Amino acid sequence: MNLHYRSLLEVSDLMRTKQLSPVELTRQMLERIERLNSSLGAYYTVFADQALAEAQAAESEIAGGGWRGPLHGVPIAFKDLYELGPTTAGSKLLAGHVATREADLVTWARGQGAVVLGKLATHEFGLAAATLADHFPPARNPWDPDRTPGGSSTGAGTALAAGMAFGAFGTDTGGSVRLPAAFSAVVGYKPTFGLLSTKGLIPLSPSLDHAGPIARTVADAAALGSMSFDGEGGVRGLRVGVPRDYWDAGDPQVRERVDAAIKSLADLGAVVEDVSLGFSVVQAMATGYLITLSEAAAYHLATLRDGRPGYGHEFGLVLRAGLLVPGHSYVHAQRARAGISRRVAKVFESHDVLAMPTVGAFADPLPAGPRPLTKRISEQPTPQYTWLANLYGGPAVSVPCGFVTEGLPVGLQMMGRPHDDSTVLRAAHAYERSAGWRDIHPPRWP
Amino acid sequence: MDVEEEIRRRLEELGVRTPPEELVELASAYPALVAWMRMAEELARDEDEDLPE
Repeated sequence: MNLHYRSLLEVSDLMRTKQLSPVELTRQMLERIERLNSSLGAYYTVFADQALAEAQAAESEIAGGGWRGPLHGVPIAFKDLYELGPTTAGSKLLAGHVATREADLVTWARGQGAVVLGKLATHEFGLAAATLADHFPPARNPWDPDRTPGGSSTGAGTALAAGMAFGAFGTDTGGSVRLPAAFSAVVGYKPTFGLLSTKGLIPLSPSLDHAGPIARTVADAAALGSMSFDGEGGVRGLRVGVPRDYWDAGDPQVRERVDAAIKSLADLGAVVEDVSLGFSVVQAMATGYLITLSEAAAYHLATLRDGRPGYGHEFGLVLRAGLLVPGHSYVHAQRARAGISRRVAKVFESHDVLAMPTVGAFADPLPAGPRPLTKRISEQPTPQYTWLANLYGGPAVSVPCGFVTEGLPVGLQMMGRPHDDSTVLRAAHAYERSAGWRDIHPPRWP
Repeated sequence: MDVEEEIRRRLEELGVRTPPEELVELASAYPALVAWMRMAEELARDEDEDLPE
């Protein structure tokens, strides 16, 4: 049975009903990782023996009537920012570091009976873009291995898109779960701030950092996030706000695909209306970056001061830029964030979800060497519509919504009110089910 | 004082040394960083009450 592109919940159900052995499934995953990882670089570390032992334990428990829930016996993986065995954060600085504790979410997943396959590639400390010259080889996009899978949870995007795991946990400070989801044609779910523990994650910007699942379906992502929603609820009558003044920038092919997806929501019965947020994507990104750079610089200052070698070129520069942000500008950014949250809350008084692209571009080629800092710190950045949800703290889901002519994926993003994750998941699931993109996989990796 | 020298001085005050070629890159990005700070200040203004006159 060819299982690697099945959904997490499908294989879970097969195991619950004893039609599928967790050991057999884990063995298939490990063989596939062994075969593909040298080309795609999704995993830094694979826990083959331990995963098989966990699968054996799950098999015995399930056979004895002790099914624990939808993750029991399911092979999943964690971004290498989660403390779990060898933990590098994608940085030469931490090469060889072995965590002495386990991140809360790892412990939780083990408690659910999940099989942990390994640690997934990441942009350095969850920020600096991957390059071909990095200390750790970059993860590659299964739709075009010369391009990035999107980051910073790069390995998670690659692993899910190429059938090398049934689910993954990433981190998301400004979009790092949803951007790889969009670029790799999988689902990324950033829950409401604080819903999933970030204890035991190497921080980037603690006031914006989230943990979040990446999966092949919305229902799988919800299961990983312990979130339930009405899978049959549909979107009839749902009030969908479309902040076109916020996302009028970006690639026209992306806009076309997202417009078509929004029309599909209307065809499914949603009440779609244009809304205005009253600020621009550049203002939101500037606010998010000022907070992130400042908080990251504060965390890393002692190490920078020691002159300890190992930071990559871009990350070292970004940290220094963070040190150049004065205290009053950090306070302005946090006040700006409060203003953004207030304006978004106003829109949510009359709308249930917001719909927009995840990012106004498709996957870039992996650069040969470090990008200039002006690519990151720019008055005209590539529009990442993801930052908004980190700033106001609400739930957001990126779901595939088609492909551009280059054969690369595009993501539709939906956001909701804080703690109304179930509505966003319901809307994303309804779109996913009607659109059918979830059944299309990268042809190079059958 | 030019921007590179100012950046070098500010980072050194914090005990962080920076190679000259990285100072050039930081100086190139600095105007955009300042523009971000102004954007945040502008958005923050809506949230703050003015100092009484």
